[in-house]
Amino acid sequence: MNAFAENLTEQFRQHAENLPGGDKDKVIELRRRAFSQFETVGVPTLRDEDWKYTDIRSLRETSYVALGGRTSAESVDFDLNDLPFPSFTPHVAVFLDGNFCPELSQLSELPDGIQGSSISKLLEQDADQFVTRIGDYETAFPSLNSALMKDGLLIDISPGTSVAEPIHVLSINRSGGLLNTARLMINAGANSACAVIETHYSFDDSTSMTNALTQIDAQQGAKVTHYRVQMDNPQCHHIGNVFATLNRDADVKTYSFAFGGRIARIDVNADLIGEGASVTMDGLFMVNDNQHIDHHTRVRHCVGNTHSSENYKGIADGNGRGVFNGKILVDQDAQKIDAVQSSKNLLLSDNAEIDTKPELEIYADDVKCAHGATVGQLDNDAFFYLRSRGIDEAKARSILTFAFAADIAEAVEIAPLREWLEQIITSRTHTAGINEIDGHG
Amino acid sequence: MLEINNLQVSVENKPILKGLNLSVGPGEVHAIMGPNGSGKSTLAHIVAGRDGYQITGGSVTFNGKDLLELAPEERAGEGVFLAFQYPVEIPGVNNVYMLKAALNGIRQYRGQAELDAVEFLKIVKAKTKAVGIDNSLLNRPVNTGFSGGEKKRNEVFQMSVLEPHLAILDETDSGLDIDALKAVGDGVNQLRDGKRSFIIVTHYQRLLDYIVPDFVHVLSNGQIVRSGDKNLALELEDRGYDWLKDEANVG
Repeated sequence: MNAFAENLTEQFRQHAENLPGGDKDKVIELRRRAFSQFETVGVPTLRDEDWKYTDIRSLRETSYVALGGRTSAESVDFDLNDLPFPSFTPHVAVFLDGNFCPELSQLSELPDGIQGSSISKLLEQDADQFVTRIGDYETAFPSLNSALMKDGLLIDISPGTSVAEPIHVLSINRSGGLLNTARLMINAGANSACAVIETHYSFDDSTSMTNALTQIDAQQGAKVTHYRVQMDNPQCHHIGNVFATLNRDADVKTYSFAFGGRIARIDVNADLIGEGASVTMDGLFMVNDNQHIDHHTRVRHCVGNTHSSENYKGIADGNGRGVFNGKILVDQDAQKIDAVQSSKNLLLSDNAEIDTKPELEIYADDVKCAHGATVGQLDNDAFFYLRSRGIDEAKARSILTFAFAADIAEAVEIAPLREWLEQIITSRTHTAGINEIDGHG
Repeated sequence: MLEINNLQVSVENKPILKGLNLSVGPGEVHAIMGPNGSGKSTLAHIVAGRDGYQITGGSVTFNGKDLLELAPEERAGEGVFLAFQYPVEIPGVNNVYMLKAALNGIRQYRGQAELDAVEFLKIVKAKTKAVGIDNSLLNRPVNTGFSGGEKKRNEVFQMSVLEPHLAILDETDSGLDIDALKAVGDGVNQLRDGKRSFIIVTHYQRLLDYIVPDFVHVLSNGQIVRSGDKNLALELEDRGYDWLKDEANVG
């Protein structure tokens, strides 16, 4: 076994009962089952087909503290203005080192028909009912999340309720050496509509790991827009899993914007189980220096007349490496489905690398399925055109990189989030790698 | 203003310009004509600073500065403008946004204060009217989905906003119908103010009906083989280029 799993096994044996709901049989049973699944599957290696582009040896060799962290007695030594992004919305739920932080959260004024509940409270006070809402997962990290979950937010939206302003769930790593098991659950009732922003941020001096899980259940006709923003510092390990289930006529849009971490791996999964369901999975990642960001998407069309659309863009600079693997599964009875997938990538340096791979498994015979993948460099003609007009190299490069990613940002309906993303894209492309561009001349 | 002296340029070790001389004074309009492959576009690109060429000899100075030492954006700052034969489509970059970045880039180079949005839009409005460019093109992505005529008109529009000291028009007439040709000619003529200079690179004489040159040069096989006034262009229209090629070979 590896140090990471060995250490967690030890912590789980000794301290599982100290986790929320540790005195509840149902919770203990759930945690044990999930941890046992994690042990059975094991931490992935390059030999696993799903991990062949992402080497997490450095994670396997690191021991993280899963059960410690800041206690509620400690005071908070920063406020939201110290973070490199705005709050985006008046409704903010902050989790600090994995625990709900009432000092920084603003959830008091949620409109009628929407309820935000602390998962640690549910585990303590409503365990029997709550555990029925936690599914079993096959793979290692989602199982580990279920085994070790401490806190998180459950958002319940009553049928027919439309929530005008988005809810921002912000997970912050402040202490070093921690494994943050963040969990977010969104249950959108029939014909309801909501938008949720999920942000992961770690302070510069916090070398930590996040193993987040987001569960989206969209009931009949529900509309859910979910924005996932990953802004960890470049020393962190980040694992994220999104599982969306779409019932009849549900419409889920789930975006992943990933900019941080040393190694980040984000899996976005959608099961279309009701006719008329439609999922959009878009994403943008930017890597620089020695960063590695891997997105794996998986859409399963379980029934006919369902629609999926994926548009992912990646920008790799420095020694950065990006991965996109998009899997589309169409079940045998899922006729008349429509699936579109696009992965476009931009290499800004000679040492950067992108691996992009579509994976189609289609068992139905009457389907529309289109996919395309490109990896390219900045257009040299456009670069010269801009410079010939008086725009300097750095600015020209920034303008063209921005143009490459602009459509992803444009799709964001929340203006402060869209504007912030546009700023990030611009500021992260303004300086580096100019020499390499010249070299391509 | 522009002094090109014995300029020798190769592409992938194949000589394209073989000792070219050209002197352009303030306010002058020079037409460079010549058959395909004579090096006309290479000359335009070299002055604007495109990479991918080996300069094996000679010099290009602009108002006393060694142009070949400057980056393309620095040349723009010095007042050089190239209207492209094939204006580049840049999806995702707004036309007016690009132009504002360009004008402010040039102003910054010259140590002038950058213009704010209001000041800039005032200029754009005035120039839009003067050049007669369709307003709807301004806020579209640069040249993206523009017709051939719209692209060339956009080049002239950019030129009018950036107000260069020397404008090089590289085959601006190619692919234009008569109406578009006339519109481009009008746009350029408005910018003739006695100080601004132009180099009109063209294969055909017809653009010169609208933009009347002071000098006409014939480029053939990498050298200027003949210079004259506007009547030379008319003669070329009648006789073609072959007689000059033969002369050059003999010479």
